[in-house]
Amino acid sequence: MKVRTDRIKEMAAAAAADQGLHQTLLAAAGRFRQLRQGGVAAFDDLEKARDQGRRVKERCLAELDRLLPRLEKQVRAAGGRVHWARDAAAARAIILGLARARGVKRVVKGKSMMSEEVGLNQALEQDGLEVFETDLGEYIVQLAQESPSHILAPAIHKNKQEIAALFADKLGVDYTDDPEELTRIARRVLRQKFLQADMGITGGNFAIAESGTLALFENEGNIRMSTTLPRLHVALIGIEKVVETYRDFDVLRKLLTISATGQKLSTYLSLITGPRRDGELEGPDEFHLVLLDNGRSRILADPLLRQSLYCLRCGACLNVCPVYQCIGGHSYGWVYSGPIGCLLNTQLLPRGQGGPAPFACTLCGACAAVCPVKIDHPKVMLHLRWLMAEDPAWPLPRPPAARLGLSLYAWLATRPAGFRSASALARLLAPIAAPGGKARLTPPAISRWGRTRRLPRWQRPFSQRWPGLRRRLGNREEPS
Amino acid sequence: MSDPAREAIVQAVSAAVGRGQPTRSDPDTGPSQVAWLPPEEDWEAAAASLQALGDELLVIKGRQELAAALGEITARHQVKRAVRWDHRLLRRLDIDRLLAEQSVDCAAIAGEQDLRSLAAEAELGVTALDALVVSTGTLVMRGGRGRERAVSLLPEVHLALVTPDRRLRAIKDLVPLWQQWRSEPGGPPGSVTLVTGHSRTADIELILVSGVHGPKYIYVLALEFPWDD
Amino acid sequence: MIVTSQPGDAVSSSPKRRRVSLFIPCLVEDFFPEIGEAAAVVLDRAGVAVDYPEAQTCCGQLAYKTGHRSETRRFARHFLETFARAEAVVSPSGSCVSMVKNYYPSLLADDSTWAQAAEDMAGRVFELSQYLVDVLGLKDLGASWPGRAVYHDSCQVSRALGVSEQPQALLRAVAGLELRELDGADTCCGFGGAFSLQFPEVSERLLDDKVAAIEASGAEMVVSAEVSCLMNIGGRLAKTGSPVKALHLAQVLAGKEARS
Repeated sequence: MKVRTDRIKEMAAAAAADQGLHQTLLAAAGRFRQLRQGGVAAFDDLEKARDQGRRVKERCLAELDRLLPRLEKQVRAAGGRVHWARDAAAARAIILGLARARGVKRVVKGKSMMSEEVGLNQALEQDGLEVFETDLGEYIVQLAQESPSHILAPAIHKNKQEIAALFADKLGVDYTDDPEELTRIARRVLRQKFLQADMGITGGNFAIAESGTLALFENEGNIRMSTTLPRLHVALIGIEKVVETYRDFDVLRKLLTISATGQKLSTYLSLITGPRRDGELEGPDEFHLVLLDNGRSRILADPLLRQSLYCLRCGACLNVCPVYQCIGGHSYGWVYSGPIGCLLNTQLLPRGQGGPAPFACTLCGACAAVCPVKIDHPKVMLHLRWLMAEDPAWPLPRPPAARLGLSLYAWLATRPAGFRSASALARLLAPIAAPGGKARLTPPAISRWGRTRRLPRWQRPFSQRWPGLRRRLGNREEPS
Repeated sequence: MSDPAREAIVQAVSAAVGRGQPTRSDPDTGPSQVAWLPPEEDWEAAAASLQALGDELLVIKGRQELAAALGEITARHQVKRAVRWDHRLLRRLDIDRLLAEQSVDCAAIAGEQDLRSLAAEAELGVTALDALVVSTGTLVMRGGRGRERAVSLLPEVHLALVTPDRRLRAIKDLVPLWQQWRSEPGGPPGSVTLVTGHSRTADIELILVSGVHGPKYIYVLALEFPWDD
Repeated sequence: MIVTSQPGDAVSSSPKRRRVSLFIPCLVEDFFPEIGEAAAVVLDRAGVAVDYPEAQTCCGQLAYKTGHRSETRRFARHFLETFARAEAVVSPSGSCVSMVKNYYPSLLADDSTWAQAAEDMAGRVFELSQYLVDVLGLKDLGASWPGRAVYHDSCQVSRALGVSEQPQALLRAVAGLELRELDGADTCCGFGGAFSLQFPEVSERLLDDKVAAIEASGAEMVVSAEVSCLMNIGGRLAKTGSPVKALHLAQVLAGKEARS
């Protein structure tokens, strides 16, 4: 997927101007929040469950160097194969190599953020393979040659009329904007693809090390199809998806579905351990698990940033994020969006390519309040801002003037008299520096602020008022 | 077999976690016995859960009632062909004959080609259940020979038969059941599928639509009679 | 020290009168001094001895939130030095209190001279309503302010400090004030400090949503315990000529006395 994270400001500005998009996103987020709330209301002791979930992730990641080989051993014991990919290119090469070696022509895919992360579809298509996304939302997005805009609802940015036109154009069916009818068309078209496909590619929500089991959640049934019908099943997961035991999995699975859609359990949960066994009539002949690092081990090494890897991809943080609801998923410029996207895009992409994503946040903390594994997004956001501002390994282009201004500000901070004089000077200059004033001293960003809001006016400062105020107070502190 | 990527990743992870004191996993404090519900308990909770999902649980008190239920369901969905698991419960109940009485062609799956064509063409798939979770209405099915996943996936209607001794209260009660399966020779089943309601999507304008890829209708028949005579 | 009990005190005199040091954020110092005055008046009326350490400058929040930790440490050390002898530090700004309480300790954790002071300060710095309700145990300050109001549940007050019930309890006790529900009361107003300058279009869109919700509530005033939100929301209300007033909680609690 093309990285456009450096353009987040422009894309956010354009999206913010799109009132229709904003209304769509607000409605969607409202609906998801309502669903989550319904689930949470029926959930006893969510706080305890969140603490438990956090502990499970903390432990499993602290033990990851042991869990990965254990997972590998168990997958092999069940007849599957494990592949290791250090980066996106390696993951693409592994999967392409498998497809070529096995003479694969058609691929069906289950919804997978990982596949977006490594740019799998383009690679497979360039190699002459037919690739079909099979989650309805993903299918729509693929037909439109776009990318998903929400973890849970990939086509949330499109209305039914747009989808109707798309189906009529690309599938040659009669125009209908009835969701029921559109869904029936997709079912019919995709059913043939499932039956003809040689390879099914999925992600995975969890991998259980003790048994080599892959857990997949969904509501539609396309993942079941993709893991049942084609002769090859390839699952691509990030190394952080590993948990130790089924019991660990049980703690996280309830948090995942409640946080995502308020469901106690998604419609389907598939627990897959290896390929088809002797004498069985269905299931893939081969099961391949691709474990992708792609920057994750680097994130793991920083004790504060590590929590970014706890993410279950439930989408709850997107649905409460005011910025996401204004700018939508595409504006973030890469695979992940919303609060978790600001964190992951910045850290998974090579340093310096993530753009100013950690600054695309008001630090309101609504995300952290709902996160099922208690990721403290604002804290991580601030940590990344710090790395970008002060660590040469994290370049962020910044005008030298801003840096100088900040240094001066900090220098004045320890000199109260100087600090007061500086604001007195600013107060003096204010009339001529104001937007439209004689000297255009007001920075453009402040002028812009002033176009939509009345700028506050300089007043006789509190420090000068204090002596008089102090005399009027009844309970004043007597000089000792 | 040496894979440089494997070595590099494991090494990077090991360095990242600062391998020192290994942390202990939480002790398994839960029950090791599977907490099956008492067979005499009624079906109200399970029926309510399935109803909330838009599906149906019917309590069947004898072979006549079973025949009648099959008649009604096949008529309602205009079923002409059905596929089923090759499962002892379904054989003992002689599901094929009962369906044949409704002019429905039903057979267990004999081979792979059979599976793909039959399951793809049949309107009805009939399975048994390894467990039914009553608080959520979740159907639990192990895969394997005679328990093909396609039967509960490809046809538009899924009919699942369950006996009173196969009920669990909550999803978390699957933990000991999973542990039991895992400790059997051959390890855990190659696939375990949990089904909570019929296939659905809300990908178009968040409007809920049923039956996108999997079945649109689910019926659970609760067998409240001695079927094993 | 002279202990006095004045007529009209909301609390009876106790053996040892509480003392607070006012912490006046930059925005209050230069642009909204009347909010600082109101806070002083309210604390005074609550029977607390108020002082104002004149060496105070700024908490360094802007530097911190744009990633400049080495600069922020200068602010932090100066703050801790200035308020070293304060029994309690109280401020009419949630975000500045959160800066001191939530971030100074980790910022100075490796500073052998200041780490302990930062930890100690975290336990005695309070947002105004938090101090009144949680420390003094007060709800009714005898204030009167007739009219329909909504409370904007600022992110930096409610989520960063966990203070949401306290200001609303104080408002409910204000004579003549009708506290209405605000749709999305705890949704961000779009300010976010430098965010409003870096992402102006997004900030404005969020602000417009907030203002629309306030206007739809039928309120005559929007009250907050966070100065920066008030500057943002109030600035928009004034620009669009809305009759709705943006007021700080301290102003409402002080009543007419603090109005200049």
